[in-house]
Amino acid sequence: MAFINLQVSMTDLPSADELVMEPMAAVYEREVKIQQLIIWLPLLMVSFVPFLLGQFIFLLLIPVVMLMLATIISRLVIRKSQVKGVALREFDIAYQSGLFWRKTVIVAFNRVQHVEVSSGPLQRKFGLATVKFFTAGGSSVDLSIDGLTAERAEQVRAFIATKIDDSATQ
Amino acid sequence: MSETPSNLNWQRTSPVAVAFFLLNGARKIVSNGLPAVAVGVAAYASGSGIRKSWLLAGLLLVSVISVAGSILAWFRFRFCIVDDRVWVRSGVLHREELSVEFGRVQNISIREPVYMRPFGLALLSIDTVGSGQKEIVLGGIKKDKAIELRDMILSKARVVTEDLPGEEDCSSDNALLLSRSPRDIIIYGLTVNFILWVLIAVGAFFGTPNLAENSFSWLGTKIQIQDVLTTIESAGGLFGSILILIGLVLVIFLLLPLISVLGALVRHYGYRLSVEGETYRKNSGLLTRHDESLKRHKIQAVVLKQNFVARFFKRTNMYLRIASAGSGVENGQLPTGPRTTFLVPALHKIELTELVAEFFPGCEFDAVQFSRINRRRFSTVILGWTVLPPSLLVTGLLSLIVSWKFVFVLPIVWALAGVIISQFWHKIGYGVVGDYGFVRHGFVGTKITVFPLFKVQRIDIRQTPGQRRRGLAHLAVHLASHTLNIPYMCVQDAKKIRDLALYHVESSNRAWY
Repeated sequence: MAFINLQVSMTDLPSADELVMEPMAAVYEREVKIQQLIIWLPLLMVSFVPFLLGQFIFLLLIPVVMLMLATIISRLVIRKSQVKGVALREFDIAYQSGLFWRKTVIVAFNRVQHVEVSSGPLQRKFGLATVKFFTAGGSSVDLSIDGLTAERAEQVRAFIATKIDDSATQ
Repeated sequence: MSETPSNLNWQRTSPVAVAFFLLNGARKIVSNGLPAVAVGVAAYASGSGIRKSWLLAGLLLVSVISVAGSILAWFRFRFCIVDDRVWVRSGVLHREELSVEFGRVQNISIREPVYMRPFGLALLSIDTVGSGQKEIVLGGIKKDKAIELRDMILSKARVVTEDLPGEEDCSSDNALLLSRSPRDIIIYGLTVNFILWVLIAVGAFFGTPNLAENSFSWLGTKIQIQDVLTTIESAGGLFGSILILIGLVLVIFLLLPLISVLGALVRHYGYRLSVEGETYRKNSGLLTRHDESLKRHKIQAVVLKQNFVARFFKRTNMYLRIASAGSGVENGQLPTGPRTTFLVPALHKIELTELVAEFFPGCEFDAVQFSRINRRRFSTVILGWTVLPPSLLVTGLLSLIVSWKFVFVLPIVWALAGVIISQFWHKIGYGVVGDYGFVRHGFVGTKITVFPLFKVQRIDIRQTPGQRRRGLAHLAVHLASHTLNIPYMCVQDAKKIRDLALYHVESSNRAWY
């Protein structure tokens, strides 16, 4: 594509492509596994009900299909949690996610309106937290990172809060 | 949030504002509940005598309540100005207190509705930026006071650390940038989107046409049209109904542009755009005079629209986009004010280039060369995923049930879809010139968005497995006003645009709002 009247040489620009993405906290994978268990175990149990009521052997197919589904989907979800990555730079934060549809979101700190840290019951059990970033663009949360340790989430929040203050006073 | 000062000089608006509250309420009822109103009208028309009297009694009750509510609303509505803040207390049942700092004001406009003119009163609306903040409307204050307030707020609005070339040349106090003759306004009326012609019929009454605002009303009119059709069919024979239908279509085709032109004239007659230092001011209106102001640095993007009618006249309509309050549709409510855009209608090519450079200093609109996206992937993916399955299904069913000859329809459908998709592809383009980004979309018409790279809020790059293999990507540029999407573009270009935009965002201290 044609770049005219460039003030900066394109090759000198810091490229977000060369970022090294840091994986999520080690316990995050465990949390996701437990989460999957909580979702699928009751479903599996319920899928046995038709067999117990009907006593037809072919009704056992339902729990078998359910088990297959559970393994495939939870495998994918766990795999998805493994490929997530964050990279913090001096002026922005990058977040990569997605197994098939890979998405990279970059938010510059001086465009962040506010930051929110939240953690659900399961997350608290594992000492994890979710950090949400809001900017003026788009209607909902702009960036939601859910695999950080509570400590690190708080660090990120504090780091960005100072950055927001900096840009506000300028 | 700052504390409410204890003893403030609270003021009320003029009693004429009761009319303003009443109209506002009526407008809300009609635009949110048009289907319900339509049902009510239908029930009245078909109802018996007793039912009619019940409905009338209900209507009377509603009117009495509305009038009482409006008087109360006016009585409860008080405002005051302290230092650099406007405070507003309002609400009958649900009371609320709002305060807005002058520095956060996005857009100020003064309107003089017909019913306020004889009293020398005006309506001042103050639009703010930020999540959840509402717009403040001071209805029914003296016109001089409104102007004084506006100038005060504009003078105290955040001084931006902006050192752009050409900023200092505020030699003349109030320079006229553009004025539009009635002929220009008529052309504008004709060039507004065709579907909008219908909306304007409703919109002319309620304010500027706004698709989101009137989408519900549009639904309402659709229902009514269907009712009309069924009554026609039941009245005459097949031939008669066809004749009536043709006549109706003709009338609609002639009437809608006329309504559209009338609407445009009412809203934009005597359009004048002037600049005073950093502030743009727009004056227009036949009955209600609208006076809107906008600071240059509030402009998030300039959108240039040219549909097929506009192309015939060689004109382009320009819309200045500012940050939408709360950005986007919040709490599932329809946006109440169409004031997140600032219109500059029916521009010639030369005026267009000059004005873009005026709003965005250093922006060379003529220099942009649009890069295209990947045609093959764009077409095959859209054809394969959205056209192929339903067309195969429908023709398959038809040829099985009705006649096998329906198979021949398939190539025609595909060819047509191919032409349409290729037309879309032709219009999608992107480019960067200096500090500005350009994105083009369209089908028959064209829509070009120009935005300063440093005002970008967030950038996403998405890739499907297929796109990863082919070096393509989907780029989403989020501005405070709206989001731009470019599908199937070269991934290197997407990354270049992202890195360049981030560079501008992070290296510049200029405030984006």
